[in-house]
Amino acid sequence: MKTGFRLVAALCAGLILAGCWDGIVLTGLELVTAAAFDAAPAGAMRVTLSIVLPASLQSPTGGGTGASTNSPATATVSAEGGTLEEAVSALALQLPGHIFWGHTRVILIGAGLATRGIAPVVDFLMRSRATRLSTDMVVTRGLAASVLTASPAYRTPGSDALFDALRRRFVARAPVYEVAQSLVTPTSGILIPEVEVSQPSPPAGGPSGGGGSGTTGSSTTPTGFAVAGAGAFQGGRLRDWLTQSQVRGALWLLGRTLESVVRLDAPNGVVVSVKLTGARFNRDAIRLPGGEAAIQVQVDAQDALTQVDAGSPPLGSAKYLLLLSHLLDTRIRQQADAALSLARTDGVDFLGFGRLMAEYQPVFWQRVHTDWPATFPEVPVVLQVRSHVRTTGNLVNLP
Amino acid sequence: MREDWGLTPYQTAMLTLALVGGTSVIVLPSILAAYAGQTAWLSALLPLPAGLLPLLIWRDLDRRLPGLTLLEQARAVLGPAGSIPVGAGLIALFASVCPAILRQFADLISAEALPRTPEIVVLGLMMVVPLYGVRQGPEVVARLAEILVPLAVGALVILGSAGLKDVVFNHLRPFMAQGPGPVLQGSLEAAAWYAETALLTLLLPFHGYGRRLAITGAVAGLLIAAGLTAVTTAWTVAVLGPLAGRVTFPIFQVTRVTSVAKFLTHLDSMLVVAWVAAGFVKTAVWFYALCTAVAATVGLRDYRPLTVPLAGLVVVGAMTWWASSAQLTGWVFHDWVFWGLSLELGIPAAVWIGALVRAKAPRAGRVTAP
Repeated sequence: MKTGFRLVAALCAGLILAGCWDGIVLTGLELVTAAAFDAAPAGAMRVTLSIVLPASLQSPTGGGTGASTNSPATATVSAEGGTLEEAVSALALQLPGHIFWGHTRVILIGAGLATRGIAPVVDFLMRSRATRLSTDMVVTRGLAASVLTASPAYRTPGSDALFDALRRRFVARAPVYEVAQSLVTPTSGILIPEVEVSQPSPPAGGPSGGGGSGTTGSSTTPTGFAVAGAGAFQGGRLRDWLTQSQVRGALWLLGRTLESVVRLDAPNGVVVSVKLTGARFNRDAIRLPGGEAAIQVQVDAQDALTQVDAGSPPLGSAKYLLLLSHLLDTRIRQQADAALSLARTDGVDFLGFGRLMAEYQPVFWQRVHTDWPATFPEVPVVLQVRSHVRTTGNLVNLP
Repeated sequence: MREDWGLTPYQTAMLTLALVGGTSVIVLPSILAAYAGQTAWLSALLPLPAGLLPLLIWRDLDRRLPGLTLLEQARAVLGPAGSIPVGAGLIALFASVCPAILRQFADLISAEALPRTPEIVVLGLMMVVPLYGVRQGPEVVARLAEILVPLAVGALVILGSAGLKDVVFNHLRPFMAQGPGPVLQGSLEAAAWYAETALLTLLLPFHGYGRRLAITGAVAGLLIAAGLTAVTTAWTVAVLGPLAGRVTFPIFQVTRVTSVAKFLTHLDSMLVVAWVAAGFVKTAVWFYALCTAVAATVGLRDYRPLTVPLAGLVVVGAMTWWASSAQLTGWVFHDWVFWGLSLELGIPAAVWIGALVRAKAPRAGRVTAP
């Protein structure tokens, strides 16, 4: 009898501890796949959520996870509030279930809110129990909500398409916790990738827009999106925009690898494309011979020649590959200089140089850290690049 | 009441690990990072002597008064009247810390797993296992430790391995950027945790394989706990960088970053389950200490009749003494270090000095506690 009572008590305790107290069943959850935050008039905020419609995710034959072609995989809901939490509360009134942030894959910030400041969004995401801190943040030039209404033909839901695009190593990424780190140290900035909406392609017969990301479509509804460049943030506020080329330059200086293809114009009308296959970086803060504190970045890049666009280069010659390597050095320098120039002009240290100074030149840092945005543009940067075009793929040359 | 079983060295090590590491791993990293920033991990290693001191004191006391708990030694050394302040000091320590530990684990569960469950329910259920274990005797608590603690440590190691890709070693530099001051300040906080080995003076007399192996087990447990705390602190700082000192339960925030192949996410729930299991052991040890201290001080031969009412008081204390988690954090941050250190080190030291002065040791054979 006593043992039976204990067993029942233990089972009851187990049930409650397992969350059956005020538990929410799975079907009662509104699964958020992406969230867009925009500025609204009078300092208010608009929150738009992309909510999964589980029934639409099942394939018509059943058992699969491919999207149905007839119905959208997600629904978009939007609400406005004086604060972010008020907007979310207003959203909760529109939805039958409990908003669940645990599956949010992308956070989008509109330009208006980015200029006003993203600290409340980061605060909300960090404080929330369910959100993943590794969730990617992106910024848009227009309304962030417009990205959620885009319906790419190649992948549904659209947030998955965006998430997969960010996962590939072609773009810089800004997870929530790294953005939060930049808020803690106001002297350092951060790059948040920019997403731009693709409008429908022109009717049949028009130019195909080679290299673009647009897909076929017949209405004015955005048909997709592409990661374009990045927004440079400091103190949680958007300060400037970077082109994709400037982002690549910034990533060289940040010491991050980014898969990218570079076009090289070689002598005798030769045009080739080389692709980065790997890189090693060394970032340091040093003292120049005159005693001046400087930033030193060493890049050791390995590349593969992936295409010959024009001319007939002697790719069997090691000397010629060395020439291409030197040309690539120059291109990397140009990209890095463009990013550095922008950072200096804006006085935004999205290159993490302040952090380097704090690490390697603490005495200098103690002297300048309170006035770093003004000091940073004056700090010399020593960039050393060594590229190696190591392979030409499966083909040496065509006549 | 004497027990007829003997504590194995492995059980001693696991008990010590749960006692010290049970909360130090989940709470200390943010406190240390707030003080010492990039060098916080060093603050977790420097105060090891504070954990060794009570063990050394116990070793010498046990040589003079073998087989007695600290309270029994106090009675033998200081006499019945002299042992009352010792008992009162220990009761004050245990009665204040027991609810704090329970509340920390309840806050963890509320924050990470059961935000909608009423706090009183979480606190009550968190007390059920320690209450049951303590009523069954210290052997059950020791066996609980040898089963649950390796699981908790294993979960931490697995998650740490999965999160290695998120580690940025540059976040650990520069070394001692602000000088030794903040590192030493952080060490003082950690010292109060490590000195919790003083509670072992109530358990180590039950050793079953000799004093030397008992001490070896306790020291091993302490070293593992300090090592885990240091590694966890370094891991937290290396992933969260300047955020490390600003988050609650930092190790769980780190696991919110971690994923396996971008597919297996929300691994924090796994760690909560494992670490709450270790929390049961820590709460049980403190609760056992509270019950035996009260029983010895008021002259009861068996502490078991006290367990249910004291468990109720601990739950009520955990519920009411701190109005918010911020108040509890403030208490841990500012008051616990002095309160804990002075009693954890002061009381065994006082009994030891008394023993030295009076050089009074009973002859071989166990002395039954009054």
